[in-house]
Amino acid sequence: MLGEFEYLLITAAASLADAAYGAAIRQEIEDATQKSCAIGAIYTTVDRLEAKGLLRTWMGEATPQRGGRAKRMVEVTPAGMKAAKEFYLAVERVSRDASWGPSGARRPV
Amino acid sequence: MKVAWRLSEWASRLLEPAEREAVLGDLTEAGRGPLLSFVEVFDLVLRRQAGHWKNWRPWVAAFGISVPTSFLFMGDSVALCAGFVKLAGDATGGNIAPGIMILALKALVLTGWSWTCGYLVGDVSGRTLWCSILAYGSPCLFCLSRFRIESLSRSSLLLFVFPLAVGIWHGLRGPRVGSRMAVCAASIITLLAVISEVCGPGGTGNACSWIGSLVLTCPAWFLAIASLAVTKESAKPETSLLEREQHESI
Repeated sequence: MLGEFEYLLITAAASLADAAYGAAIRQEIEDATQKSCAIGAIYTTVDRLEAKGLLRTWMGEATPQRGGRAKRMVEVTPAGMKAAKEFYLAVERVSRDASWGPSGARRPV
Repeated sequence: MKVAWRLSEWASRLLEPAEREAVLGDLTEAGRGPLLSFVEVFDLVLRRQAGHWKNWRPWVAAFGISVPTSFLFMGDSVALCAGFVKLAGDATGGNIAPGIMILALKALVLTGWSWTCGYLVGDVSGRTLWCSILAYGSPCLFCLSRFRIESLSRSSLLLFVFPLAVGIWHGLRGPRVGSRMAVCAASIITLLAVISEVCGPGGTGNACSWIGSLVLTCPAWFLAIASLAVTKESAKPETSLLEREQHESI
């Protein structure tokens, strides 16, 4: 089972598709969570997920706005997508009857 | 501000080259400012260093090899220097050739021990080398500050440092020692150590000296056994690749 941050990272990378790399993933996570996210947390989690076979990374092209430095591109593997889907379904199932969940919201508090 | 960027660049040197490139690029692109960038790079360096310490290798290199052998090496260095000073004092009378031979043998053994220890430390814990160097440096500084032998210079404590540094360099960057050469070197070091102990001032009765020699000879045999194991494993391609991967990940 994925951790919460691992799920966020895989989902952000999947949303960004071909444009998934460190800075873009961080921006995506910060926009979604409204919280700051350390670049160190991104890279250590990317390494962990890559070791588990849930992500694939490679060095991409350098751009002028990065000071001529290369990007570390990220791609979610089929195993990563499966793991993220399982996590999402588990969260959905466990939230069903919670007061903030889909059916809980209709219950009188 | 320039200082903060310099610090970021400096801190990022502790990262892998590809990761350094990607991280510094990400921070430039995000435009978070030099100070925040330094904090972020430092945070990643700390995370990476903490990750290395989950393995047994850095612990063995720093606290199993560096700290104990630094004291033994300093003891041997001082004994060697004291021997030469004593021999120089006796030079006026009698035959000093046997004494010179024994001291030369001891110097050779000390060189062999310190090189093998350095090689092992460099090979086992390349990414946490700074800590192993601290583990060697701290006892040396402690002993240097308390050195009180008037007939000897303080630098006599540090005779082992040069071969140790060369060994570390070879362990980090040099070609791997072949199994035959490693076994041969371990045998020669052991033989020379035994001869120098037997012919030394205490002869066969100095237990402490024998134990010290035994401890300092262990890294040479560890290298020999490890290189034999690697040679054996390389016969099985899949296992050796896995081993190599595990070794490189540290």
